[in-house]
Amino acid sequence: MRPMRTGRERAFPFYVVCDVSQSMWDPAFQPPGQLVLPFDVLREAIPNLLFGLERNATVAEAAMISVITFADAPHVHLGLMRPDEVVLPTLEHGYATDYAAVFRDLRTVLSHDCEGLAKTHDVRRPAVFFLTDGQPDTGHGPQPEGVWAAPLAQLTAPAFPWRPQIVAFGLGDVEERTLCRVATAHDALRLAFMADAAADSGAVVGAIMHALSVAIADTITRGKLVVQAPAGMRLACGARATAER
Amino acid sequence: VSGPPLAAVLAAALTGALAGALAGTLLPGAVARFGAHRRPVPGPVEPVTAARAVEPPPPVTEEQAIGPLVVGRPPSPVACRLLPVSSSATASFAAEAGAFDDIAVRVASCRGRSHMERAEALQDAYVVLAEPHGAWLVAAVADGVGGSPNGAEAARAAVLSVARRAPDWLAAHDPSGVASWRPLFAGVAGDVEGETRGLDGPRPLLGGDRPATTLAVLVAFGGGGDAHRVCCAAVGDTEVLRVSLAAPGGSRCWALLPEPDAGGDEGVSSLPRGVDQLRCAEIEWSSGVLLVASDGFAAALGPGNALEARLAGLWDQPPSPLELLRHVDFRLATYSDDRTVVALWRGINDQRLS
Repeated sequence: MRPMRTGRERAFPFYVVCDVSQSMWDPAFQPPGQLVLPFDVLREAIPNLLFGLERNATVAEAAMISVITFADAPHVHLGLMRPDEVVLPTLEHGYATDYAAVFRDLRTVLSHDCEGLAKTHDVRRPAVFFLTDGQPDTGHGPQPEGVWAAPLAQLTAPAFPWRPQIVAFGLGDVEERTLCRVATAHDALRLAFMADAAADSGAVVGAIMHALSVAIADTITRGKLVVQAPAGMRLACGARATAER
Repeated sequence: VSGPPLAAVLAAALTGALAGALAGTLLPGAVARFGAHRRPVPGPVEPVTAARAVEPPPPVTEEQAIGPLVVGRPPSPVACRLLPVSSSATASFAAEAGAFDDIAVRVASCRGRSHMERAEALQDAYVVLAEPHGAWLVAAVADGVGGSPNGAEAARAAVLSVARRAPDWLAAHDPSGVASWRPLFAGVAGDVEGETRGLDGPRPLLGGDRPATTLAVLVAFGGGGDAHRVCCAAVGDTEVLRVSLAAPGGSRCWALLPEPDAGGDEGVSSLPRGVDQLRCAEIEWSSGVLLVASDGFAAALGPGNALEARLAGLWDQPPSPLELLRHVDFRLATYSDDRTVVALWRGINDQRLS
């Protein structure tokens, strides 16, 4: 999906999709010695991320940012807009980890956002940064892969003109296999990162948000998705990245 | 203390210096852009064949002579950071001009705002070769691939390789199809690989790459009468364009090479790995301006947009080197990459440097 030359202003849509289920905010779900709740870190890090992007003039004029949370249901916390136009509401949390609903909603949201944007801009391929700390679960039990794989496939189908590149960040109980299923391939690598077993979840969330600010700036500057591994995380889904370094 | 504004003095000084240095024809075999590598080759120079004489341009106002061309919402100001080492070999701006046969040649190259902000070097490079007896002109532009460290080195290696290889290649091949272009691009790929080996350094885990570059090469054959035979080829999104200045409502650009580049979602094709993505084309060039342009400029040209529309009025004659630099260094929000343009006008008795 390489864009035709239009000469219009360019827009790079980024979607930060955050798990706000119970394991992100309930101390009972945290391992012993956990210093800070991941949700609390997230609540502070998202405004900081946006503020950092706003301060970078080159990035602020080309980046379009949306923040979507998911738990029992997806919620567009911040609609797609430039970092310097943001008024951020308070982040709210939930209980479940419904992957199917968020993938379904993402397709709708991306269609709406990007089609609108394409009327006036040269829209680049959207990027979704998917942050989760748990296995798919509806609150009544695990959500089978057969349930969420179909909406994920529709979201990433080649026929979908706004199919995103999905970078998945996993911590807590999420299984590597699940992350690798969610992440899309880029330069023959799956874009999935797992937290080191001993890493503090709050610190990892902070590192992810920092990595996102670098990735967004680099992607706009380079014109293609550029991602670095956040501190305390490793590349999942195989060892090719290590061999390539 | 009163006197002319500093910008006007600088512009006048630069104009004079460029005019003095560049007036007349392109140096045969000159490798432009890299001062350290400039090597004039002695030999007879054919007189310019004038198809039509162009009047010297009217004097430009101070306002026109300075500052970049603004073609839409201007970008936000950024801090321009000096490179750790600045020299003529890493200049942020470069211009070249001259004539070959009845072709007026102009070149402009500018470091992009995003690279200025990051104290990164210009990652574009170019070369223009003029065969001493007027048989052919070769123009090549390379764009170090974003995301790869040392992209500038890869681009420089590519154009220097073209300069080194093109004469022998043209003596042995007629560039009429992919098969005939392949030896040149394969040779350049090997040179890029060799020149950048060991320059990997730290790089992003994803989205980074080994030093790589796009490359577009154009060959215009001399002595064409009413039309010149032009052959071109490219790997990646550095483009060869024909600009029609007579289109209704402004200019109109056509890409000569088949689009799109086959790099797909994961980025543009590039050398050294992308020789198989080579695309080529051939035309009889009788009208319009030909451009070999890096993506930083070519991507801003779109049907009916402000930049394309402005070119009609600005490029009906070859602009002076400083004017072209202004045009190539245009301002439009979200366009912040390096830009390099080699532009050719046919049937021109080039007097804009006198």
